[in-house]
Amino acid sequence: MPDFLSDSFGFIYDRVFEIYSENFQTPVFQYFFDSGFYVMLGMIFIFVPLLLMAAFYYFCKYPYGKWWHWLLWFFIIIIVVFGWTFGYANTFILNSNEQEMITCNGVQECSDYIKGLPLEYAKANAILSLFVSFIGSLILKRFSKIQTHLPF
Amino acid sequence: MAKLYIFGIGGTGSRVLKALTMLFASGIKLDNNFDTVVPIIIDPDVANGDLNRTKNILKLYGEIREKINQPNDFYQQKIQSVSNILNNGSANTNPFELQIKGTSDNTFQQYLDFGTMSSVQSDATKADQEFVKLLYSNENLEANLNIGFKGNPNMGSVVLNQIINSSDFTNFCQSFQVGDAIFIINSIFGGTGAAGFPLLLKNLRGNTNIPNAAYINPSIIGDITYLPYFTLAKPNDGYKTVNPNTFDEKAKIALEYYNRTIINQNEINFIYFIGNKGNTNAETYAEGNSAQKNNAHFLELAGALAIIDFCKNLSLSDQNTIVKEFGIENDKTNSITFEDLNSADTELISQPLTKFKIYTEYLSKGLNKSLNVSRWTKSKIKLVPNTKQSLLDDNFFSSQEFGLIKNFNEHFTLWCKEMEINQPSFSPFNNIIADNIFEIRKNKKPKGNKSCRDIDSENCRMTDDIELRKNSTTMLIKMFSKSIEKTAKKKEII
Repeated sequence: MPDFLSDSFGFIYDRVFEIYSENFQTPVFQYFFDSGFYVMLGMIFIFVPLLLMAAFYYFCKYPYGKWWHWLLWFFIIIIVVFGWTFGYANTFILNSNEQEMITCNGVQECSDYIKGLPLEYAKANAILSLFVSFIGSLILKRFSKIQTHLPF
Repeated sequence: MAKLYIFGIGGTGSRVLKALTMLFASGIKLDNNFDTVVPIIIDPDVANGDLNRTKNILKLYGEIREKINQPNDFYQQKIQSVSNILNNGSANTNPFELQIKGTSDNTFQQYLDFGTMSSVQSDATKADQEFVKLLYSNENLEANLNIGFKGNPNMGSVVLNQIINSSDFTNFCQSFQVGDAIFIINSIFGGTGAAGFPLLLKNLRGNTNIPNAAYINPSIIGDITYLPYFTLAKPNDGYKTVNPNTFDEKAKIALEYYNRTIINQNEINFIYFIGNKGNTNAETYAEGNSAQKNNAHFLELAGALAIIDFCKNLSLSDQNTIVKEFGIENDKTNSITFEDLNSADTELISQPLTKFKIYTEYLSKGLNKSLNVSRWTKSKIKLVPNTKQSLLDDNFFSSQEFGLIKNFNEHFTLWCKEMEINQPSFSPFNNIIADNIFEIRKNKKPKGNKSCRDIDSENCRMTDDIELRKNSTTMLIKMFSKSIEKTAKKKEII
């Protein structure tokens, strides 16, 4: 994975959402950075909303769409991103083969911290997808044939 | 490019012209390069309900068509009045009518100068007066001509002989060009039509003094003559001047006369006969005026088909008169549908009429659901360029421009309804609501969704089509014609 992607997404999660603890730079965050975990999280909050919004604008043939249909879809996207991120992070962290990270070198505080991370990343991605969905929506609607009038 | 002049004589003439206009609105077009139809209505009964309804429909058709940029489906056939062709349309308040001099507010005896005859008390003029009395009853002589001839062709034959002296007839002659053709519609069992047809034909064929006689005299002329096809309900105080019991007798006499003087002499290229007996509808008794507003009848639609057939088969014309009759495949007294017509007629009208019926039903029953909701009805969408905004927003649907379309559609709906309640009933459509619009056609079950949804989806897809975005009326008419054709074909109802 290109480092700049890991850097960029890592910055968002580590600094903007402050899901970072210096205490666990190793074995946790350094491993996240090296394994492309951040990039994958970034892909989820960017592409899942964009793909689902594109589906709404380009594949939905229902011609009587109202603003609340769009809003409903918007929330569905957020829930999907939240669920997907949580599932992915959970699997990545807890099912990882990286023994050093999983065992946290035997530090109980570290183990507890790691178990809480999937929820934190899911919340962060849900918020990020909210922005991506909205901005993506404003761009995609211009090229839609049936839903171009949504959300406004 | 050629013009087809259609003379509609009397109430039947007006009603057949109405049926033809409905077919044109649905997208049917004349063959053989007839790009323009020029209706000319001859009816001294200027307040006649049928006449005024047809004039109104023709006017609406013209106004709507004028707003459509290069119509290629609905409203594609051009209909023009003679005055429009001569570019003096604004001067004529009754552009589709041929006004007959001396018929307004005159009794028949005033028209004949019967009074002047009697003012000179010589034996010779008294003899003239007595002679006229031999030919016409007192009721005939006292009849007011502005309500027509009330079923008396002997009166009509005198008055209508003056057709050629009218400025409207001169205008018609002046607008006539090589390649143009003429079609006449008349009934044989009334007054105006029965008398008007032979007189008009005589002048068109043989009068060398009319303008452009060199073109008009040898031109191809067709006619449809209506034999009795409806009767009149008996009023409480009995029949007065118009008695339906005389229809058959009048028809026989006129037929014999036509046969002797027109068909055997090969004076006409095509003559179509049409009539119906046994299961006819009884119209409300009326002696002309606004009360004479008969329900549309299937046979008038058949008459319109005769005009289309005439244009299609023009090349078959030779020295001899070609006589044709109209028939249907299945002899039904009730509820004739498209499938009961012969295959050529079914093919000709079923698709266009079904499409137009869906279009009118959509606008009256389905629009509410999409207006201000579907993208194709919205014009103030944020962050979208003007080229993607619809021209058909709620302002358009409450405008006068749409009012014309709505008005025409109401006439179409009424026309279908009247044919359905008449005898024999022509009823190819089911009564529908917006949720089952595609169940409109009898004997054709639609595939898939039956509601207006697919039409709305197609309309949304076509909203940015540059070809449609010339103006609001163009967009509405062309968009619906395309979207309905696509969806109805997909659902296998056309």
